[in-house]
Amino acid sequence: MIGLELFSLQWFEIFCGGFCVLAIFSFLAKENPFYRIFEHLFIGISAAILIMEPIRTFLWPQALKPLLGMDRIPFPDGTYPEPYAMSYLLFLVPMGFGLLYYFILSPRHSWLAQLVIGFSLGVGAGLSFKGIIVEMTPQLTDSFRPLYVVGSFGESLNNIFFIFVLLTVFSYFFFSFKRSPNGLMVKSSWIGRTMMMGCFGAFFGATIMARMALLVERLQFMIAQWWPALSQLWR
Amino acid sequence: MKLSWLLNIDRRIIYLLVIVALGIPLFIDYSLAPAPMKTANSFYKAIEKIAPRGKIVLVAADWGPGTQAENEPQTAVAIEHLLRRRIPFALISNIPFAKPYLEQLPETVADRLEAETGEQWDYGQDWVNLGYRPGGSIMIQGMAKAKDLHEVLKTDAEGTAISELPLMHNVRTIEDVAMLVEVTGSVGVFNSWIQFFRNDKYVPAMVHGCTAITIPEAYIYYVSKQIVGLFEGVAGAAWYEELLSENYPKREKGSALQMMTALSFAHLLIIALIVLGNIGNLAAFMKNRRKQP
Amino acid sequence: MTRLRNKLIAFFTFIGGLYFFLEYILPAHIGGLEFGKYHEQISLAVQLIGLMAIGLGLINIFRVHGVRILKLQGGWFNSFVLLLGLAFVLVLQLLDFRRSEQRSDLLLEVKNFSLFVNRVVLEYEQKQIDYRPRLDALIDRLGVLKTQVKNSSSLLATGKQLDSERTEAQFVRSAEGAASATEQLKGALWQNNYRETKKITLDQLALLQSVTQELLDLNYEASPARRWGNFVFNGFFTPLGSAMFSLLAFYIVSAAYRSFRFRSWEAVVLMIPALIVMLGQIPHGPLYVYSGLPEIRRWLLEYLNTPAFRAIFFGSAIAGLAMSIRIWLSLEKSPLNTEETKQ
Repeated sequence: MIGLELFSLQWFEIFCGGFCVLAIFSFLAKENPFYRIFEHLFIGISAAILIMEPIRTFLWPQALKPLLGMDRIPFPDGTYPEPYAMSYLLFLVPMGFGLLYYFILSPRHSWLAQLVIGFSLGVGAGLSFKGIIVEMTPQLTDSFRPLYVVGSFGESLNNIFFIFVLLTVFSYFFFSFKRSPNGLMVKSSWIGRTMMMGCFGAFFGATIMARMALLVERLQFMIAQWWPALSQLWR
Repeated sequence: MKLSWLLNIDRRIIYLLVIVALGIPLFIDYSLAPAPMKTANSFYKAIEKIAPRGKIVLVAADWGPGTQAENEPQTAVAIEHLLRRRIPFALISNIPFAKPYLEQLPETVADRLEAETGEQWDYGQDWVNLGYRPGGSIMIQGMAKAKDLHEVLKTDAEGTAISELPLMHNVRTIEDVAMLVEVTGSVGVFNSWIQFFRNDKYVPAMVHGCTAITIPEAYIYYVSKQIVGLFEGVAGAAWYEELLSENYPKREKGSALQMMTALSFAHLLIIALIVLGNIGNLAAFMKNRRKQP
Repeated sequence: MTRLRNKLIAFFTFIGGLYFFLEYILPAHIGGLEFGKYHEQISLAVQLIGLMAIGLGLINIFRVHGVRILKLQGGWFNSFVLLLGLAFVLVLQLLDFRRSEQRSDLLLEVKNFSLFVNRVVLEYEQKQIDYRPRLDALIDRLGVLKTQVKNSSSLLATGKQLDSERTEAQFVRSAEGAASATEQLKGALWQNNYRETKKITLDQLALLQSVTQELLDLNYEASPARRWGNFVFNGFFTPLGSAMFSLLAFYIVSAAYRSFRFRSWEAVVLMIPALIVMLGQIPHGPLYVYSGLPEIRRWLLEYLNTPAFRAIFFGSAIAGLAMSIRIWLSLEKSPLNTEETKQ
């Protein structure tokens, strides 16, 4: 950290950052109040950001500001570049409807909140029709692979294996047929289960890397930034 | 020799070993050449195909501190490539915690490139920050179906009207977006972009940067060509750095490479622990067999 | 009564999904009717409805943690820290928000000056509206802006002091230039020979606009709310968030050590792909085991992982579709059903 002034705001930023990391890592030794305090601090800051950001970036500039006519800045002579658009008053309808959410706090009138919750669930369901079909269709078409690829024995084998895994895993979740002991479905679903285990193994291997990456990044910060900043205290 | 202790190594010793394994390469500043990644090659080629100073690329940086370790180097290398090729881009996010990164990251990359090349990159000309946009799928679909994006987006993150930004002058609909670079650790957010960032006539090419935990899931979209390139965790970013360094020899080494080297040490430690655990397991098994008549 | 309420809730749920469902299945144009004509407005309304619930989170946090503090229940100090962090960041965000709004409003006002001059001249030409008091108002406003900027200079950060002072001086010069050009325009309008002077005035105002933007950006970056906001984000929020997630790294190593043992066939099947995926991404060099590993890893992800996960995905997607229909048509027994809740 060359050029970092001792006790400057940037120095404190790094100093506090390292202190926070140590507080969280203290959990590794055992559960302790120090960790709990910083955990709650994190929740408090997160909550504030989660509340303020949508207001700053959407509710105010896209709805409240035009509704209150505050998006129009007057000219020096007091006139306005454009008249107030009355259509903005229509915002009051969804906003009023959205305010029904707060009736959830009243046991007697909570059903009014259920109207708007139901509406939001309906929106989610309506959107998901398109979402699921759009997402699934290319996957489905890609799964219909030729079992014999002219001129490529390897590709043919790969495709056969691909279809084999797909069908056996399908068969594991397929309960419409009666499964006789040692029957085809039982064997197929056993293979499917084994294939899924392989898939989950790959997930586990990938997960290790993901978690490790987070730790490396924190250690990088501690070694390259925090320690040099801290050592300025006795240099 | 009694090997049964290998079955139950104290967790605190394991934790200590993890810190030592990760810390050594970071302390001695040791880094290795990354493993090749075909998916990152496709990412590189996809960006190379876009014409400079033409349509824009939308960079959706849907991440916060929780996945910063992987998503930040990914976003940084993608931005670097776009800046080097003078492909205009707009940053956007579905995650409120991303806001400061959207401001700082392109500035940092542009400063580094300016120092390296002596050229200049400017906000509004080379990139814009559309900021955090709430609404998830509805917001994404709203953008995709917009007849005039200026009307939908209104302002950038700092409150400047979209129409005031030179880069956005000719960007009116989704058809003016050549590519979507989507970087996230959240599968739900990634799915929303896949599902809704399209209209009846046009689907922009899409590339994705995922955290390692979602690599197996992201692969199904790569195989079906719904995404044309992929960053597989920090390893993808490290290989991309290598590709950039090959093509731009004056380029300084980035942090992803050093991170990846430390990760390799950690992987080897895990493999060693698994082997030790199995030796202990085998020893216990042999001991039990000997006891049984 | 309860029945009626449930029907009403079902109706609203149905209405909620109807537009987005029809928008997907219907063609864009039916006869002369464009179905998605008001898509932007409908999307905005739906987003607004959702965002109105934002205060609920705040109310709940205060309810839960406020009560704990007031009654000095166990963990009250943690709750106090939570509310302190929340309040501090809310205040910082509000101050920063105010500052950023002032910045964009001022910028818009300065941008509008050119529009104003054009309008004054046009209305003088077409409607003979007196231009003198209007242009005087612009000159007065430019004078006021000059003072405002001087007052705000105390907020400048030390690091950018020089930049700010230079830009501030530029701003004062361009505001004076714009005022004097406007004064000349007044005279030119009187003589009815104003084309060239009007162009000069507009050029001066355009220059003022770009200098204002630069100055406001510098001042905004240097404002205390902005700097303290960045301090909290970089000094507390980011390290806490990253460290909390990185804790899992220790546990996953411990889990891998304890679970990957040759005890059963399944454990081996789980372990081998995990090892290949791990080893396949290790960089070249002395640690490198086998040069073909990245390719084997890719093959595994493409030909074992993809079809297996895809089969699971198809199952869950179809289930999701069925569930959506049930929710949309209120066929799903849900906690929203007041009759059942009461029972």
